[in-house]
Amino acid sequence: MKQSRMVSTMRRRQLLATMPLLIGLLAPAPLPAADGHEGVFFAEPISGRKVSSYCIELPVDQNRRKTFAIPRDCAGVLQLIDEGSFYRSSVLDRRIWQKVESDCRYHGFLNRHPMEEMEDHVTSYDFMNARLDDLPIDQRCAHDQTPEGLAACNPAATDAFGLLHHLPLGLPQGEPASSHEGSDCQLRNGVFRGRLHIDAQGIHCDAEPNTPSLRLISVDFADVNGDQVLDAVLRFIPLGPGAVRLPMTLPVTRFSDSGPFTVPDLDPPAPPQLR
Amino acid sequence: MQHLLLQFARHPRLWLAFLLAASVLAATQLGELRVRVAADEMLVINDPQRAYYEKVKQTFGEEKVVLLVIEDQQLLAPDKLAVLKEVVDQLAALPFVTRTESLFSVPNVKSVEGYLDKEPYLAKLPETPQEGAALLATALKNPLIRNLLVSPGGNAMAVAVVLKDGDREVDDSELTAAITRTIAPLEQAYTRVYPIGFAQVRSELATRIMDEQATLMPLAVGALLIALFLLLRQMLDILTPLVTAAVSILWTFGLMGWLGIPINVVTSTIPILLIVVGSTEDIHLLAEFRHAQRCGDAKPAALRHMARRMGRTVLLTFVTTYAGFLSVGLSGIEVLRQFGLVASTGLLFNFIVTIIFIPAALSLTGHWQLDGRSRLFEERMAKWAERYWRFIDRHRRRAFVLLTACAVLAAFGIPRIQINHNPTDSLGETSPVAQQIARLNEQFAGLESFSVVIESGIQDTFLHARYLHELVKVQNFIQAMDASLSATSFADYLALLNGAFLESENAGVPRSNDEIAELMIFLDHDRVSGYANEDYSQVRIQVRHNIATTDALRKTLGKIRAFIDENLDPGLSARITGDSTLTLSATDSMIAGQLQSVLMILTLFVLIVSFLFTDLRVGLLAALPNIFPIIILFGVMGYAGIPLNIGTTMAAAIAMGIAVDDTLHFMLRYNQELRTSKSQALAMQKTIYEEALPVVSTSVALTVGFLVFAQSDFTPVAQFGLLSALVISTALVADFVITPLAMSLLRLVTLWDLLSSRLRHQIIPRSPLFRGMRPWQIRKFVLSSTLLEFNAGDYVYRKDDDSNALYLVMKGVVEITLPRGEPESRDPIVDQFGSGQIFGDVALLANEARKTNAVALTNTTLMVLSREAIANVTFFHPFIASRLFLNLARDVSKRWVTFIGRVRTPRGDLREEDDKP
Repeated sequence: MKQSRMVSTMRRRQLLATMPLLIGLLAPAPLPAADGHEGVFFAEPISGRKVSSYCIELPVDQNRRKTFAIPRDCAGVLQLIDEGSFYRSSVLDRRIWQKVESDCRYHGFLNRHPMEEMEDHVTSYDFMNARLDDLPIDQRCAHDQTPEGLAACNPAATDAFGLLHHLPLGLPQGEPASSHEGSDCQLRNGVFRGRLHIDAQGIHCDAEPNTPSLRLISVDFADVNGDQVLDAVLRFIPLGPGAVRLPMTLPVTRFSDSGPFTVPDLDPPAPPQLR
Repeated sequence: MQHLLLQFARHPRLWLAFLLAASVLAATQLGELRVRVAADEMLVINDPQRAYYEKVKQTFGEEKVVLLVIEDQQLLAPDKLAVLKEVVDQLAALPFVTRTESLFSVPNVKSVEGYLDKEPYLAKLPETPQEGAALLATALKNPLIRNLLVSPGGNAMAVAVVLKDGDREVDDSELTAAITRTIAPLEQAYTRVYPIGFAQVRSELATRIMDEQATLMPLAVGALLIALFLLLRQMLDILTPLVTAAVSILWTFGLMGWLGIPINVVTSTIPILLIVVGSTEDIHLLAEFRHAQRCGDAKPAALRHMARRMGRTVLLTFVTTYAGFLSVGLSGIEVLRQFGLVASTGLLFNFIVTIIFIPAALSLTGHWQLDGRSRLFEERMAKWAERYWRFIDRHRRRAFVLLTACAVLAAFGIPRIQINHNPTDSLGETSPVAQQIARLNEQFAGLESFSVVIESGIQDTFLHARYLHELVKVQNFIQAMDASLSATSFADYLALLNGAFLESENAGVPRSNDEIAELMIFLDHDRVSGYANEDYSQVRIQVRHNIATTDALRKTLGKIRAFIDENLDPGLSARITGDSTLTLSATDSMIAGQLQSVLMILTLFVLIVSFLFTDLRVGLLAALPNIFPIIILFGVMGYAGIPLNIGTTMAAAIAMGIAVDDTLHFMLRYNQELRTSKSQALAMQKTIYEEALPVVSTSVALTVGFLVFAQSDFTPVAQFGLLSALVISTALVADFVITPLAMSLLRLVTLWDLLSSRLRHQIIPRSPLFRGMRPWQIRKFVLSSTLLEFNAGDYVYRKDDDSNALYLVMKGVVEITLPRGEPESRDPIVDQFGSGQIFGDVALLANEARKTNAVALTNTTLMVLSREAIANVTFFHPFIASRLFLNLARDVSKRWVTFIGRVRTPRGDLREEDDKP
């Protein structure tokens, strides 16, 4: 816990030391975060760059657009959304509102609880090269291979964060399972390419470069449920043909350095737009 | 016209001073004259397609681009790139440049740790050749680069220099020079470097026009002078056409300078036109003057002869040609409109200068002669003319077969004609710019472009996968037609983004609305503003191509149109637009305009000749010698693969102008000779003799002059020269073979021509039948009648004969008697009719059998107007008929009044002895 606090303090100092330089050289660069997690990154609209803050102009009514700095103005943005005071006339407007909401809710999710004295068993883990076995992927659907069980299974419902929903569990029709088996079930530099099969024996993976796959785009550390145990919040994006670039969030935690990762109990539950 | 010519001859110094003053005034405007080749001026004015394209350009923006092409085996070698980077920065800083597009600026959209990276391909210069090769390979996967900025072979790349689109266009030559200066350092670094764009093409065209005017024009004029000297041997006659042409060119250029009309590809032909068409009138006037001199007339008498014989002729030939060229001014294409107006005004100037200068100059110097006559056209020419006419008359069948065979053979070649309005082809194969374009076309997608605009009118249409795929469907079809062209669209950029996000080279276009919506967050509209409008209701596929010929382009666009009509979602509409389609539209308009012009000249010619001979058949037959050269021209173009373009269609129009001029001269001369000789054969011989000198000499001289132009390296000038020489020589053959043979098919010596001058001028106009009629109406009427001769005592008709005609006494006396059926007693005399009086009309109009006898008292000549002829006149010429019937009614009424007066005599009987006409 002490170690984790030191890490956090060091990060803050480093950032503060580089602030004048950043402000001087990169005036239009992303704004510094207003609070909490300076290490939270977003994909900046238009440029797609990795930034810790960005400015965005959003339509608030038919004839008016307003500029917001994210995450500094997230409270205002979420209030407008909750009040229904937003304007979404076009596909693009609608999608940008969604993105800003998602980013703000994610930022809020990480800042639910203050980062004070904390028990840390997650920062030492190399999530960028995580074994999928280590992650708390819900296997409830996979365990019930009966037709009734499969029919009743709703992968999205088994995972509040939608991860399973976006991971292909089955094989392509007509193909024998054996032809795909044998690869490591592991992220490599944040990327997993292949198919995932879950059965009674556990998780099996097939290496297929062109199949839908996953990229871990960020690992943030926060106490998402206020239990004074540091949690890791993993954000994945799906890759491959037909995938929609909507980040999927998977908070994980563990209570010992060698223990299994679990999904932390959330009270209150994760907000609906958090993905 | 005759009086006007004599007026100029009477005051020569005054009128020559006027010409000089006007020339000085025109010369003051020469400084304003500019050479300019503008792309817009080659397009159709008020073309709906152009209006649509303007709208499209407003929506998607227009980019005028000069491509800097760089060829090398190691394009991305670090040391070379350093030089290139510097040059590209300098190009971007030029005042007329908006920006540059190259591997230094085009984003290499990729994913780095799950986030986008849009740094340009050459944001960081490769450090090793291997890195460079890898970068090039990556760039070639980008459809917005492959074929456009990097050649598929990887050994050439381009920097697109995007020009500012301001109100004031930068001068092409200044722009070309500035770019050439800036890129000079690259020549040391790379194997081959050249800037190419339409600015370079226009600049080259303008330079060529100036060069051709400066070098070939004097050569052509020299050749023309030598030919005229050999033919005419009269210094004044040789110099006169050049003086009149030079003055009229000066006036025309002065007018162009004053009106701000530039010299361009089309208007640059006007000086040649003025020399060519203008000199024919000069030669004809001078030939007539010399002819009179050779016949022994003194200068004043020779001038009068020239004015009398040629005044009307030159006016008519001028009017025909003027109207023909003026009709080009009705064209929808700006340059042709300018050409039509300027060329017709130039011809007007030439006409004015000719009719002033020639009488005035001859009045002052007409006695100057080198040796008094031409070597070639001496007295024996009359015998040659006679022999020639007999020869072709004897071999008319062979001549007919031969000429028909030529025409048919040529006609078969006409469908082979290709249409090509591409200005870059004008430069010729030897032109450096043309060679650079050829290289560009080999390595890249070409300079030409068109767009397919697809729209729905509904916001965000193309952010829906269904409609995005409609766009992709059309784009793929176009791309599949020809691998060398480049079809790009908004979908390509989405595919690049998608590939970057999905970290897959084969990601392709997003498949669902959600995927598209997600990608749109990261799409900068400025990057795709050339492909999609702001609300994504309208998108365009930009196609760059190297299709050179108009026919091929028409086929390609036709296939695309057909595909769209058959396959595009009915909720969408699509139009093809762009420079290429406008060029196509301009080509159609140009050809239609030129054909319209040719037809107008021909129609006017037919009308004039028909009017002169009061016979439509003569007009139509006389058109044959003018149609023949046109058929030969187009046939040769078809077989020789010379395309129909703005230059070659001009040759057709000019050729028609010349051919019509010569034929009209021929026909007018023939008409004059017919009146005096009363024999068609004799008239034809004299016409050939009289016209041989001016027509042959001008034709030969002009053919030689044009052949000089055929040596030009500048393709349109060379083609124009070659075709014009062909047409003039063909027109010469046509005039001296087809015209005489065609004319001999008709009986042109009419009743009117056979009537003596006394009858035509004294008897007929004074007859009560023709009272109030104009001469041409009388002539029309006379031509529908016949002449009959009667000896004294001959019956013209007898009682109970059918009444089928009325009679006009031309000569002699006719007595009308009322037969009583008593052989012993003399029949009572009803009336007697002398010269100019009419009889036989009452029974004709009453449509009853004759009640009287008509007997010639002396040798009598009667003009007979049959019932059928009167019916024809009534049907075809109702105005003439109404006047005729009014005259007949008056005449019958007068005779009726006279008859009643006689009934009232005290004896109550007819006074037979007193009733003398």
